[in-house]
Amino acid sequence: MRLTRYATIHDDPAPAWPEWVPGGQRRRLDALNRLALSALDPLLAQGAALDPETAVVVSNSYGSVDSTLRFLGSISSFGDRGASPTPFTTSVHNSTAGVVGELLKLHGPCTTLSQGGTGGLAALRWAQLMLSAGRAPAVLVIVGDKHVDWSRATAGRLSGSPWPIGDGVAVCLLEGDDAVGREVRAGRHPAPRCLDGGALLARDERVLEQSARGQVRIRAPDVLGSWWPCCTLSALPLDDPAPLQLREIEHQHVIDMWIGPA
Amino acid sequence: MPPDPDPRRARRPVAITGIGCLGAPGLGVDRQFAALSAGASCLSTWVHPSLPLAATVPIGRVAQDIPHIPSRSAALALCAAREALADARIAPTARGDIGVVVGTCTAGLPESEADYLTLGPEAPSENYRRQQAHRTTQVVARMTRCDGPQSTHTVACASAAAAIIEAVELVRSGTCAVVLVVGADAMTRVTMSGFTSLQLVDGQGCRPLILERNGMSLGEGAGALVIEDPEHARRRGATVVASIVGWGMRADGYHVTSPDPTGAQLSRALTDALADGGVGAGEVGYVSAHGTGTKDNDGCETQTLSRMFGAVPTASWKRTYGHTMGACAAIEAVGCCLALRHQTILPSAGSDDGTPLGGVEVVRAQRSGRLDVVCSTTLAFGGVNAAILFATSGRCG
Repeated sequence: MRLTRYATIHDDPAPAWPEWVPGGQRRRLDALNRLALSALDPLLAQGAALDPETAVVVSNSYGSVDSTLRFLGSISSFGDRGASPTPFTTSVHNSTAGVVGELLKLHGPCTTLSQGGTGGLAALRWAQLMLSAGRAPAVLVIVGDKHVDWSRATAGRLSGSPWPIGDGVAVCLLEGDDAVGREVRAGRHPAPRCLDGGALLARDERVLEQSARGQVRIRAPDVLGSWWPCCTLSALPLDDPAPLQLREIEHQHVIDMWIGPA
Repeated sequence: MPPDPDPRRARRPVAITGIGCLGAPGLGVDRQFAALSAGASCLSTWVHPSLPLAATVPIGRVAQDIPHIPSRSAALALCAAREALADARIAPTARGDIGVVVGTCTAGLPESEADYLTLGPEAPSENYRRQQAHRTTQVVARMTRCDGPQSTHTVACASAAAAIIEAVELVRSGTCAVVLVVGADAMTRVTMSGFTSLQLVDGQGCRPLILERNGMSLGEGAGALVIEDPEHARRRGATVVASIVGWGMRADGYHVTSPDPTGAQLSRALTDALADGGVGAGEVGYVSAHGTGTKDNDGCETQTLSRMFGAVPTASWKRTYGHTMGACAAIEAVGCCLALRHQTILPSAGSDDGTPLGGVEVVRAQRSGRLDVVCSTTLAFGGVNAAILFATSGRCG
């Protein structure tokens, strides 16, 4: 498959709303949705309007933290019968996919993954399955997480990450092999460098180090300056045309993808 | 009805070689079959501080002992997974390459919400880590010793449908010969309070697919399937329970929480599933509908089904289980397998004392039937529509 469009945003506390998001929606949507739509805006500007049959896969690890906490706060304040429905509707993990589908009128297959540190490449794997099965002309991949202060502190304490807990979203458009773009394949293929992301704890580092096979290793959070579980795709060095092995790890489970030249 | 699809476009079916389930009827596929055959309501109230609304509103709760692990959703998933793997007769030592794909909506939320609501946000909570959906997948994989690729879908009420679809494609693409797919969700206060706040819960218990319906009931449970390459199953002498011949999945692009009342994309999902399986609409002998009992869902769903299949026998099992959220498509997949295995048309629980919705035939009592293909539909928040076609084991022979 081919990577034909790409955009990313990270560690921006107040990203601008795209002009195409109506005011009524802006009031309803939460911080993760806003970040995702902000990342999507430059990708949409890179080409023609998306085909309405485009598939969508969103991947995040913590879900809509902002909405979930607001809804829990509402239960605390008003009781189980009196809680506000507004944050409940955006608290589901797949609200971003639903919002993107609604705003862009996309009707292809649509899912949301929550696969921790391997969520970015799991989304690429799903995209490849859909394209190979002929289920969509293109797949829009949206990967990222957005914390609030409480979850940032809690996730930082629990994750064991040596990097500060950040926020970010990467968006990619993937199309079939007849499109023009960087080639993306599943599995391991020759590449001088590998870009690593995921849990990256000490035990995971050992697994990645042993399997690097002489490749120069780049760690995504070193590039970005912060870490979130599936931040790998936010650190793609697309200005360099050399092939690159992508690896994400979680509990010593590795997903490998490879991105080659155009 | 749409024209029959071009058989040359059909893609190969996959085998189901093991099934497992637990829900309000109890643990094990035999209990599910007994409850579904009887059209039983297994909803009841439950007095417990972790779920205040359940004291007055009936839910589908799993009352059996389940493994004592920190996440209830993971424990439910593990029970169903173990039963399915035992049914498939795959020894623990032979599971190294088996993929695990899980669909779950709330995952570890029951435990983390309890910490948050009782101890407050400052309480340090290991349970916040377990709230992440993929932790459920990791627990299932580790405790069943299935060490192949992992994936976790969290697509609200269509989570398990999305998981089944990925599992089918992992097998069809040759990525995996065998995939364990599980849908699991435990009851949470967030879910119960959320749907109550949307005024979508029927305080008397849901009565899907009838004019007098007044909302949904919530439930918990898990369903599991072992999905296998048919040739791999044949080589190891496995018994094929049923097959999956096609799937369709379409997004409404209409509204995050309300289904498109025209059912346009549900209709396309059904058409895609028929084309994928090379199945004519007239071959579908029975439908397990999503049938939540809400005005919007059941109205657009039955209208779409009748346009596609005519007066096809149709049932919702939400009165038996409650709406088990991310688990429901897996539980209903097990029900479809049982209908095919026993060649029986299972009733729509809770529909016997109301006016059935028109268009389809709402099944009011169990009867025998010659079933070759059974369809399961799922609709979800986010505007997701999924259709999966199950068929007799002979279809993948």
